[in-house]
Amino acid sequence: MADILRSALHDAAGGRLQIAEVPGLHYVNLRGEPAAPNVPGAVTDVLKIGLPLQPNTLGASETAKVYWLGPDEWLLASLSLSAAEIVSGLRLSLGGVHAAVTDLTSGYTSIRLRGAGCRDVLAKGCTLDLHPRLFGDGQCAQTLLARAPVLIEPLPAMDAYQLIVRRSYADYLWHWLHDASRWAA
Amino acid sequence: MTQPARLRHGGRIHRDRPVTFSFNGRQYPGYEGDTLASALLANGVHMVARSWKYHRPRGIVGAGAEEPNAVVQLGEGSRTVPNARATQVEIHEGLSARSVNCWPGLEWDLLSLNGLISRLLPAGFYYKTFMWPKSFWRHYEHLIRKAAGLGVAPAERDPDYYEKYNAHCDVLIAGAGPAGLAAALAAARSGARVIVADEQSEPGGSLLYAREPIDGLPAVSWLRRTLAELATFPEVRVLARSTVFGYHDHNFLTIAERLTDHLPEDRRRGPRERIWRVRARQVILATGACERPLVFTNNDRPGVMLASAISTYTRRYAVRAGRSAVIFTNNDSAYATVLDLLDAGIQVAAVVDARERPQGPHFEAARQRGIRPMTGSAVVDVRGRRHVQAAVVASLGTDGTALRGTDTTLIDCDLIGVSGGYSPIVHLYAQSGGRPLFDEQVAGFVPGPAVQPQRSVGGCRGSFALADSLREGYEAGTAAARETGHDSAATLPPGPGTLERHDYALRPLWRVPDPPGHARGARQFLDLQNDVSAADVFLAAREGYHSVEHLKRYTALGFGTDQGKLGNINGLAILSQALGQDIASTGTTTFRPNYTPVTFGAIAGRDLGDLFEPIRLTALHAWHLEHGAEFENVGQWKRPWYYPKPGETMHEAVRRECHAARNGVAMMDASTLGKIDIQGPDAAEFLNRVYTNNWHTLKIGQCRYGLMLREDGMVMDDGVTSRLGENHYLMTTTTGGAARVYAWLERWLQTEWPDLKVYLTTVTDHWATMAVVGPRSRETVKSVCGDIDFEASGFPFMTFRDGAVAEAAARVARISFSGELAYEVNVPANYARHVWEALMSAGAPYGITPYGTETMHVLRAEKGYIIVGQDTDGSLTPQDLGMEWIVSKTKDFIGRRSFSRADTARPGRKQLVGLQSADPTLVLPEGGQIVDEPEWSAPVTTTGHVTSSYFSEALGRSIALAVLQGGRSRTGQTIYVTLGDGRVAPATITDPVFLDREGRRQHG
Repeated sequence: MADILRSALHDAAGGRLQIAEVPGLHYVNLRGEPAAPNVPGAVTDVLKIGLPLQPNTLGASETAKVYWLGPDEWLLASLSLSAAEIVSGLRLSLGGVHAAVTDLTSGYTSIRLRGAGCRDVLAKGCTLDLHPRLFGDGQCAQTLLARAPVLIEPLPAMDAYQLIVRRSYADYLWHWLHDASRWAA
Repeated sequence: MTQPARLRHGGRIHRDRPVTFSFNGRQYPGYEGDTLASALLANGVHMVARSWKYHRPRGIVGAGAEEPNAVVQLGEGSRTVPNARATQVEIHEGLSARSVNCWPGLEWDLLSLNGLISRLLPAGFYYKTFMWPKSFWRHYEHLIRKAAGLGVAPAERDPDYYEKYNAHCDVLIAGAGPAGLAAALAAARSGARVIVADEQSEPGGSLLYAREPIDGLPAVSWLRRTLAELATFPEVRVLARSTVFGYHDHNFLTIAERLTDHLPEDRRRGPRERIWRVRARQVILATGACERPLVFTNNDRPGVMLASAISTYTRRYAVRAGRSAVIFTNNDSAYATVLDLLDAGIQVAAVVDARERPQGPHFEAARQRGIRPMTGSAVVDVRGRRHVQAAVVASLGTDGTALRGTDTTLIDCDLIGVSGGYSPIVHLYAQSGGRPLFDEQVAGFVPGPAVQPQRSVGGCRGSFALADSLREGYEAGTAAARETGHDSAATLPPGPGTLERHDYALRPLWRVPDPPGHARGARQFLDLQNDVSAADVFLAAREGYHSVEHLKRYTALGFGTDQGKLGNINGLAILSQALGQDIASTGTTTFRPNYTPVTFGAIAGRDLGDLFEPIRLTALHAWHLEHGAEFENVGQWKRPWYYPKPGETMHEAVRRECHAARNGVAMMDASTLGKIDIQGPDAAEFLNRVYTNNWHTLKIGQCRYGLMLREDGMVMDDGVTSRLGENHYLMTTTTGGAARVYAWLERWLQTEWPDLKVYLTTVTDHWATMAVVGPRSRETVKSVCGDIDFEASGFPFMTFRDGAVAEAAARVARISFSGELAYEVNVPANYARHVWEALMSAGAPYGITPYGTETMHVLRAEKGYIIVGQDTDGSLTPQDLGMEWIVSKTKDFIGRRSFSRADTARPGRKQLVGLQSADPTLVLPEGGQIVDEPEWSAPVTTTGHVTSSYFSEALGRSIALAVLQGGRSRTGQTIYVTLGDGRVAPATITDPVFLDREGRRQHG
């Protein structure tokens, strides 16, 4: 979605490290058996994205993403559809299938790190190997960044990473990121 | 200023960049590129310390991490560094250093008296001398610590920035000498991700002073070419000033990189140090070897140095360590030093070789230049106190354990270079879990089989010849890269074809025989930092300290900041001789991290202050800040504690907040409560199993309080759960228990009850919760919510309604943790600030007052409501808490079966009670122990303790909750709470509910 956008000051920023909140995303948590009828179908119906079944991968369209969180859990993030629309759409498509659809829009926010040294900044607080050889397009990972639980998504085309973080940790993580990038690059 | 001992040419110092530094208060000149040790030697300063126990003068011995004597305190104030090795400290303009072990002064030393009474200070002298009388130890300890010297930690706050970096690589190489660089080159050319770490100021290791050419180039040219090539690989990092100090499980290694200490303070930018936490798929250890000293009488005199250190100072730093040298060796390598001295124009007064028939390439080269060693001989003693003046040489007997006769030769000199062979630096290999093996050929411990994906190459595996180091490095680099899927066979660099493998032809000589008329092993020093001599080892062996670990602790051999890098192997060998066993059977002491000391600043990194632990904030935090809240830490959360008005004390603020809640309206941010969304057709059954009460009867729109137990029947959490829909519930947990409860519930679902169709989702962060409390709460909420019927009959206690509060979609629940009429307004956190402010405006006519956790505690204690974790401690059942009413007798639930355990069912368990102190103004101390009699003396049996205690605004007196043995049957009795200062406070046992026992207020 946002990967193909280029903001007005993208070039002016000259590739320097930028840290910015990405507000306005709608988040919905989905739990269900991927083998159950309607579960993958519901996601495709509503978001036009195939349900990712491989661990630590995501499915994406221009306006939404579906992150694998566990064998029966996904996080849906959308720019255009509201959480209410996603929740009601999913419930409609799921019919009577046992599943849990939960609006978490206020429970998360996203932070994007972009530009020179962004991988190094993350490496100061993240023990995962973020090298593009191992962690690239279409992948995501749930881990700790410093001491905050986060979902990390690489955006290699933008030389960026997106972090989805629980609301209550966001301020801590924001300060940690600024501290960690003090001497970056 | 001139540097009297600086050679006119050569070295890797920057003569165009002079530097002034100070040592023990005196200014000296040096050059950028010098270490503190090389610069001191260039200025003719040898004596740098007094020894630990006998306070003997000590000089610079080595040129690297092994240095035991030249231990200095750097700088002043907050940036001071204790116990730095002068051999590793790079000088810069303004550097100041002083010896750490020379109280009261280096030149004039009171304590050298100890040297004269040294027979009173044998090994174990602490244990023997200072243990009697026992009560005097603390006086002794103070004196010993002062006398023992060593550096001083900074007392001020550390002003510098330290950071950590998590790195991953295919191949990590420890050491950038010839072996490490050859390995790096081979691995790099394969495309592997490579990290090379070297502890020195520049990579190169022995190449920085080596005599041999490589590929037809001088060693330093080959080094330059190699580093230039490595710099072309984007996936290769070469870290200088970076010590691999720990080798842990799963090929996890830790590196301390020193980034700015070598610069003058005004040129320092960025982090001072960085800890690299490296997870490597393959590890290559190329840490080299450390030359061993020889053990002879007075071998600790300033001017006695390692031969390799003399070469380093001569060739790398262009420093003349003396004018006239005696070289004492038992192997070929020291002849390279002889050649270096000759090249530098330094007189070689004699070469004393323990071998009857010297051999080896360096020896041959030296012989061609006219050197004729004294063979089969040894330096047996040294003349000169503050500096070497002469070496005393004698002939060795055939087996080396005695002298041949009593004749000695005195050779004038001011420098004695010693070489007893090389000890491979097997520290990291041993830390990786390997057991070093004794190798007779090497006369030292070498790595045994690898226990992690790891290889040792070059000097650290006993291959001391340059050709072997390079070849092993190439091979290991290639093989390690191949293991990670990077094949470099096609691009293997050419080997160092011109170099021949050679033996360094060593004759083991662990201890030189005592000179005529000397006691056995006296003043033959092994561990220079701890003043341990061969005589101490003999004594320990005589007294039964046969294990090498016991020897270490009895004599202190191998302790200290250098951890015995120099003297340990000699000590082991001498112990072995004393015990009549081979060295392999004696073994080594345990090698533990850290290889060299790591500063606390680096270990802490950025885990300091506000970054030490996450600070979790609610969506209303900014409002609380703007309105002057004081905060309390609850788990990782910051919660408003109370909101003092200007000039108000905490007590006054809390009374005001309590008054508003009981008489008007007050509001609290309760967003931190854990919230778990529960969906599925078996949700009610699931709740029935995890809570003690019945959940099948809860109707949609209703709320119910629940108590959660562990399997042992003890209370673990509590909270209110609401039924949102047919198969949909929302559970709340305690603030601190949220994560634990969620994991607990998932565990039961996933491992014990996979048949239950239930999904859990954490929604704590999504919802903001505002508790609107007090007799005027109805009017307050009602005025900003038009679509909910607030009449008591239509919206009874413990139900909820969905509606719009200040236009935001909200769930409003009649739940009360205060005993008052109360509404809990839940909105998505993005709307929290707007709704909170709307409620504040709506309540303004009634004097709405924000309140914090302290008032919440007072209000709930007045009602006898427990807080799990404060009034409970994991050892209380619902029955202990007087909550039998919530325990179903008709169904099963986690913990129920434990009620019939003998200890759980016995009478006399601690029970929750109320307490009212006889003095109504006295707030009993929380945690105060309860005794039954006012007169008591320790030890005394206590029968309970105070768990919660406050001043109740509503009651106008203090109240407390306590747990007390058999407490409920003792209502009306007086007990005594100990105050911690010997006094007690009498208090009457009461019901734990102090206010509105009938619950009229909350049902209003």
